[in-house]
Amino acid sequence: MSESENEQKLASELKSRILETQERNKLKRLLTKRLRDCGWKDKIKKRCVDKIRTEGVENIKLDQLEEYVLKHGREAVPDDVKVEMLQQISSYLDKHVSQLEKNIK
Amino acid sequence: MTSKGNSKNSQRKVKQKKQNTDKKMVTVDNHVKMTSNIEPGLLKQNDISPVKGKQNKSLKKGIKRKAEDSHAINETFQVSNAAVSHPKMSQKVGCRHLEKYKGDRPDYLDNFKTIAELSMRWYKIGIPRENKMLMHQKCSECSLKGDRLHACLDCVFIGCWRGESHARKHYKNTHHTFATDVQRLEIFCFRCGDYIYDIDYDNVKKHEEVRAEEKESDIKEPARKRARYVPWRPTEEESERIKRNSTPFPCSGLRGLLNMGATCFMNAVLQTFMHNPIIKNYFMTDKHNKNICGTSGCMCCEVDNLFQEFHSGEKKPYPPCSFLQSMWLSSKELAGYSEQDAHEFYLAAINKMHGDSHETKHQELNANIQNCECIMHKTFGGCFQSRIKCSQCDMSSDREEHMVEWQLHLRGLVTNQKKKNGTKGSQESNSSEMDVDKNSLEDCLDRYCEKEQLPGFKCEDCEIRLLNEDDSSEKAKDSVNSCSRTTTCKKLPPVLTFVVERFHRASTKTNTIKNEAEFEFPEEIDMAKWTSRGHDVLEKGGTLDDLPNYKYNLLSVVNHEGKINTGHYTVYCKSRDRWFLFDDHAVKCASVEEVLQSKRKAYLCFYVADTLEYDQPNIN
Ligand SMILES: [Zn+2]
Ligand SMILES: [Zn+2]
Ligand SMILES: [Zn+2]
Ligand SMILES: [Zn+2]
Ligand SMILES: [Zn+2]
Ligand SMILES: [Zn+2]
Repeated sequence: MSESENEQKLASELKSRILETQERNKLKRLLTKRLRDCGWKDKIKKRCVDKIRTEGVENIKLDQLEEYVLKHGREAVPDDVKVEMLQQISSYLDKHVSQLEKNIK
Repeated sequence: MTSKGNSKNSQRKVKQKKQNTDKKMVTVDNHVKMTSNIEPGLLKQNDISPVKGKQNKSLKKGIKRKAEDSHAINETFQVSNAAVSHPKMSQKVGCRHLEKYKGDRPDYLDNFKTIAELSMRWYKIGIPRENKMLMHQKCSECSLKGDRLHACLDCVFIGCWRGESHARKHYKNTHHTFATDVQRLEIFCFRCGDYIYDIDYDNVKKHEEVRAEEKESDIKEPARKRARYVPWRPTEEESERIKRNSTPFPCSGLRGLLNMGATCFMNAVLQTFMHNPIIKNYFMTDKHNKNICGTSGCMCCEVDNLFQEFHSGEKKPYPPCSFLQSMWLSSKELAGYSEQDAHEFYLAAINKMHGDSHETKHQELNANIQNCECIMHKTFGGCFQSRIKCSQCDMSSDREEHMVEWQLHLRGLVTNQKKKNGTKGSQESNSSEMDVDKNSLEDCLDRYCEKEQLPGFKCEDCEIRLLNEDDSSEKAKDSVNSCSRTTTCKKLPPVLTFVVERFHRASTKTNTIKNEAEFEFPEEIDMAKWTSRGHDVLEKGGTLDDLPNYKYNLLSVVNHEGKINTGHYTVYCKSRDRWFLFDDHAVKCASVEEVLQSKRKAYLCFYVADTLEYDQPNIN
């Protein structure tokens, strides 16, 4: 098998494993908690409410609202939260990649 | 409930009970209507347990717990009435497509009901996690799990939302217009391109939520046999009558504690816990329920029990026997407890409750108490920073120290019998004449955070530097006396506990002396100046204006009156914006002036933060 094929297979294996083992949900729960605790959620909510107020509830659709907060929301995530999430993900990968690689070969 | 007393009495009781029941129903109904996410525990508190004998008691308790909010009933009523009668609301909310859909499909609620039922099983009911997860739904097309899945209201399709958005694709292919978010149970209209509100769907959702709550408590506490919720909406006449006859419980949550033999130190501290909004909130929302925990000797359970007793409506002073008993039994620290010092008890209670709390994660690792999630450390836990700086070089090192109290040193000594002991005493009482009125809380804090020279402390950096250079004894001497320490508060806890150092022991041979110097404290204090951040800003010549709100409000004051060994503890606590004096079994109204006048007695002062901050994410 070529290198890239191998990699692809590994990636898809990992993806399904993350989904099967609920790792993704675990990470999501952690992220949600962190974002709530640090005030990010309230901040974004306020931004949405303000936008709806100024535009008028009739004149703004979900998609538009999403577009409006998406970029800003990403940027507003505190760095420590990003770092923590990355750490969690990489520690998960460290644990599973080598094992999976063996399986594939 | 057969009361065989005189008929008048029993009649009144029945009446009272009827009224209570009405109130309870209103609150429940309103909660169901007003809050979309029913907090677990909210309804639980209103359980009517049909277990014989206990019924009356637990019914009462349930009501009184909730009755805390009873003053809000009238308001809530107005709000809900307003919402219904608001012409704009009823016209604008909703979507034309749905109106038509409902006309075409008499069974329009059926699918939604099934989804709502399943949704509760997947996301809400606290059956063991693994089971719950296995049942998680996924997108019919791509098997993606969890992410904002939307179920079609016309067929059995469930689609993902972001990315590929099979939910949207399904609409494009089939023109099935409505889908519901599987977790949040909000209805999305693809033609409006937006979530829409519809009261019929909402009612189904609320209904399923309540049923899920009931199921959950059946699983968690089968013994309680939770009564089924029956919806009830007051008619106009009924709600008029309720409004007319409802009065807030004026003294809810106030109860004296009997003195069980020199236990006033304990009673005083317990009262401060009972009126501490954060602790109160924790226990009143059933975060530590004695029926669920049930560990014998668990001090959290004992406090939970106290909250129940305090809000049971019973006015007679409560004897904290079981509290005392489990305290003796379970804690060596407290068992041999002869000091009877409120401050010691405060510390011991924190430790004990920390150990008994379910949130405590680092029980073995005392080092990590900093981030402890237990209610006591979340309430009282802060952090000092002591910075050691060398004036000869740039060396500066910070050390953090966890704190649950702020000890304040009084300047000057005022004792009952002046000049009691030895030379030191007389000297100090001399100086006290001048300094005695400088002991305000602010002064004490200023002194606490003052730069303090550290004679004899060697600066390591300087030492190394000197070793490399030619050693000159003059310089070496400098390095020994060049360091200073500044202590500031790095993290303020939600509730600040100030301990006034009133009890001194001049030497091991002498007895402990009580210092009765005046200690002045304000009703409100801005802590910015004494925080590490504020301190740094001031040092750089900046102003404190840009700092977050560090305002604190006086919450309670524990007083020590009389002599050291025969003395007596009382406590002022603020409850619902009014002050009360708790003297063991007696509870009296007090004015804030009176509270602030207890300058010579004040021993522990509790302040609560004006605004609670968000948690700062912290990785370690
Ligand atoms: Zn999909
Ligand atoms: Zn469909
Ligand atoms: Zn529509
Ligand atoms: Zn317990
Ligand atoms: Zn703790
Ligand atoms: Zn130095």
